[in-house]
Amino acid sequence: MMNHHQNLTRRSALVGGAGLTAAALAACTPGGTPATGGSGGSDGGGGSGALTFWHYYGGAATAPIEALVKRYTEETGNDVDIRFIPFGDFNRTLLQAATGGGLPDIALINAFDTALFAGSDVLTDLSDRVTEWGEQNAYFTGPWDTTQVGGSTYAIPHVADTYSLWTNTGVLGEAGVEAPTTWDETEQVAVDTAADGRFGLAYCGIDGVEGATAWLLRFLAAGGDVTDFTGDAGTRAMGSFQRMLEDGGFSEGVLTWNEDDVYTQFRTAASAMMINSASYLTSLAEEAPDLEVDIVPMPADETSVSWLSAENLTITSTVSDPDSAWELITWMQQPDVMNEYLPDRNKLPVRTDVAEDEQWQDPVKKVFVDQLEIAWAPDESVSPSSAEIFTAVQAALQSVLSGSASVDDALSTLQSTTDEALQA
Amino acid sequence: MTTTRVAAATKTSPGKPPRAGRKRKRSRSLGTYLFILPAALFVVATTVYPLLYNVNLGFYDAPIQKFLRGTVEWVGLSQYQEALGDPKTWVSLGTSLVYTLATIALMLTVGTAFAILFTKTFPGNKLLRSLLFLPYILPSVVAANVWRWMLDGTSGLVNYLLTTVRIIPEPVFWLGSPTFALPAVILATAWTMVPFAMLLIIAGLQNIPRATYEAAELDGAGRWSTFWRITVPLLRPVLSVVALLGFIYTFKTFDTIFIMTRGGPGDATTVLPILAYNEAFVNFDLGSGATVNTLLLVIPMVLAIIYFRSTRKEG
Repeated sequence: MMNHHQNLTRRSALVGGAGLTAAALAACTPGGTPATGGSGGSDGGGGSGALTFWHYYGGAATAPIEALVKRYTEETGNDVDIRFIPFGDFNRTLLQAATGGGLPDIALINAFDTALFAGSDVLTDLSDRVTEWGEQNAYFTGPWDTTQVGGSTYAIPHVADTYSLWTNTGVLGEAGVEAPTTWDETEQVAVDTAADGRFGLAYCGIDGVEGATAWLLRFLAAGGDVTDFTGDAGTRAMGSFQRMLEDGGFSEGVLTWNEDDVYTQFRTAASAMMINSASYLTSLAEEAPDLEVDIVPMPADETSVSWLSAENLTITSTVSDPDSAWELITWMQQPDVMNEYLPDRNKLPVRTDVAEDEQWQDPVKKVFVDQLEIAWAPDESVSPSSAEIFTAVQAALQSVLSGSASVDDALSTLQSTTDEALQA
Repeated sequence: MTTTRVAAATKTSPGKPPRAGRKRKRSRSLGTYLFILPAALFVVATTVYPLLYNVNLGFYDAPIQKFLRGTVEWVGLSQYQEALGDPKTWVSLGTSLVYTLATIALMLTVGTAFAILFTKTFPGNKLLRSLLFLPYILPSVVAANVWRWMLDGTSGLVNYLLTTVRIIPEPVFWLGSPTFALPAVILATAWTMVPFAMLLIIAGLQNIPRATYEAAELDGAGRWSTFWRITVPLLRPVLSVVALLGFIYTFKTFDTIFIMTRGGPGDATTVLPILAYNEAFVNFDLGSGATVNTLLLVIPMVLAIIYFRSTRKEG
């Protein structure tokens, strides 16, 4: 086999290599501040001196944001390197860039993640610029609140979306019922419209954060607080969904559906109602023009509440030219620019002056826009842990709907996870 | 196969028996190592360093805020202790093992069956073999989505077929059921792995001398007896390699499960890679994610060591 001397030499080489690797590891504690770590500059994959801009708008949403940035370049002469990163990879990529260098100048992030990244020193504090700019009062309260961390402004809202109840009026008419306005009515209508393989209500209940929205809407309407699930609101919300499943109001398939699947269920009339955002307005009009649809506000219980889905524009802490980055962001915020861009994106305005435009008076769009006033978003004490809490919410819902846990046990487990997440 | 060649290559030539206790000393110069230095550096930079970095990260309390600020705290083994004391780690490990072993069993069984089929001569053999290889070359994202659609409870092909032939009275939400979700992802993973197993087993079958089968036939051995007493024992080295490589590949599978079920419903399909992902990129606790990743390394590594030691002994 091997001779002894040769073995020794190889071992020496291996030991030497391992020693070097270990030394390299020992020399650095994991992590590092974005401002000092990595390349020390904002390259963001561009490297051409142009502003770098990262976003996660995929599919049909890519072209509008790229066209908007292109228009900015044409108007101002300032080059922008725009890069799409899939939503599922976005936070991880941003995190890696923050650690190893190469953050973009501007990152378009999920509004709920603003506090998390601000608290991680990834974002620049924009408070002074915002004060000088003076347009903060033009924004809807919900979206603007997501930009506030520790009394400072770390982002500017870009676009928003809210959730409503979409109803197939043809099916509801056949069943002799009207669009529900309360959750109690929703339960009844869901059961009344379920027949011949069709279900009454469709919503996204898939594993993970996305699958928590519908149940949280029910919970918040019952007066719930996302730091306390074991009270009356939790029991009512969970009981309501459990009853709807048992009575055939919705399919157990909700646990496997993402929002696109829910839209497909509604579009094909496999479901009489769905809980979804405004994102599907254009698609539905194009793909099912004959479907009779009425969109109504989210049902009320103790209170009326919708869900805020939004993105914020942020300037990262390693920005090479903060003035240019700020100029691009404020250019994007101009009402005429936003009113041209938003219809292509199927999104809602985040500013009240933009919402005054005639296009937002359309009855269907107005339902979504009006709900911006009551759209819920986690505050800065909850939002850094929101992903963990929402994931646990879906797990609780799944365990109740599959019969693997009682309502009380599921809520108790959910509460433990929530407490742990908030303490971390 | 490899081991046989290695054994043959290491045999000393006849007439020159090795002198016991005397080994030829041949010192390797530094120059020899310089030739392999670029490859070694590449492996260290792309594999060894990230691996050790991950293990090292497990010794720190590193939520994202602390990580990015560079203020992570050394906590020694406490995170590993916490992970090992956490029931969800053990549930995930159990799920991982069930998922992996069931996938390997299915892959070997079906792979062997197809391999035996394709060693026969029949019209369309090559075409069919090429078609069967498709699942292996399909990107896992595509394969997972295909299965997700086929198993869909509302409009899935599987439900359509099973309800049409009255095997099930009503559609089943396979991926939403805590009972069926894990078998569903096992089936989907095995489907992509069978061609890989089949190809290697065909190679193994072609190396079994025909004379062995002819002798068995003369001795009056039946097909079943021949399979269990000749084919399986002589295929053992190939089957071991396929099983080991399959285990390592399957044990770390993330994408197929993530696309099909995201680890759900509940924790029914939360294997260790999904748990690590959730810890690191959903809960943003990088230290905890690294800890789970390290635990994820242990089993395949131990298996690999056992395998290489056993092949060395055989050699």
